[in-house]
Amino acid sequence: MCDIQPNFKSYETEEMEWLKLTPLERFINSGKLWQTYILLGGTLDPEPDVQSPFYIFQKQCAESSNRRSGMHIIRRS
Amino acid sequence: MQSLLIGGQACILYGAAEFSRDTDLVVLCNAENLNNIEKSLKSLKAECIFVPPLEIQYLSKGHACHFRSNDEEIKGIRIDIIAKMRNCDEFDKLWERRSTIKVNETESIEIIGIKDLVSSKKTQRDKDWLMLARLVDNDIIITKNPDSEKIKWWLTECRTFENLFSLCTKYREIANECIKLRPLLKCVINNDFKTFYTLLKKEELIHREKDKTYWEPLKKELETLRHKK
Repeated sequence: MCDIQPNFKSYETEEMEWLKLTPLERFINSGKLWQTYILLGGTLDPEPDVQSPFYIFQKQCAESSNRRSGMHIIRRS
Repeated sequence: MQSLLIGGQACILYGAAEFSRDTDLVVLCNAENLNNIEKSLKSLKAECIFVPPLEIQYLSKGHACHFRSNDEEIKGIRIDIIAKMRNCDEFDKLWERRSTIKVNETESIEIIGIKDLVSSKKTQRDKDWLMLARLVDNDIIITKNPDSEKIKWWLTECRTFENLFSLCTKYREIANECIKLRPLLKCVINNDFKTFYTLLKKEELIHREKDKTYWEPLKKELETLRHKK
């Protein structure tokens, strides 16, 4: 029987470390990321997504809300 | 309030994402629960920022309602509420299959089950397909001692050739059973990446088109509501 070896070689150490956390730990750590994101002036509006059925409404909301400087965090969302 | 965390926040809990700007919830759509939701939104000082309003007639059709909190602690955070998702079961079934994350003795987070989350990601958006792949691949990595039900699910949902090859090799019998459901598994077993990729894209395209068709009447209704506002 061969050992299943999913393609986690492509996973960086950081991704594996994230997976090793419990769901609650991820939730808490994501909350800390949040605080940093807000402190650095990240926008809370969703990234414009032309494929979203709500795209036209995202544009409208973005135009009408008080925008802070758009900071795009590198980590996936 | 009966609701399940979905979207980006659910992906964080399942390890497929690290950050999400908003909070998406699927909710039980009845008068009592909507009343409770309204109270919760009020406690968060959340205002409805777009059409449609939070009403059963819209939620039951599949519309999403969009809010933004004005509470000082979470000012600006978006909360999107939906009651019906394409390709997903009714809320009561989603509720039965939910995962519960215990925060402390008195608080817990109810999130959509991973299989239902994956189903909900079969949309017209590129990012959802990427997230779907990640959710399944991660589940393969972190699950110890999967039962046959889980293995079948991996075989029918995994989108990574190498992972599918490993699964088909290790669980050949189950893979052979699943070929009827998912013909591209035969290409995996035969190590035919080219045909596998073609069939994979075809799988995806079917869902993308279904999602676009699903949203067409809803988008039209949103336009009508928007102009009435």
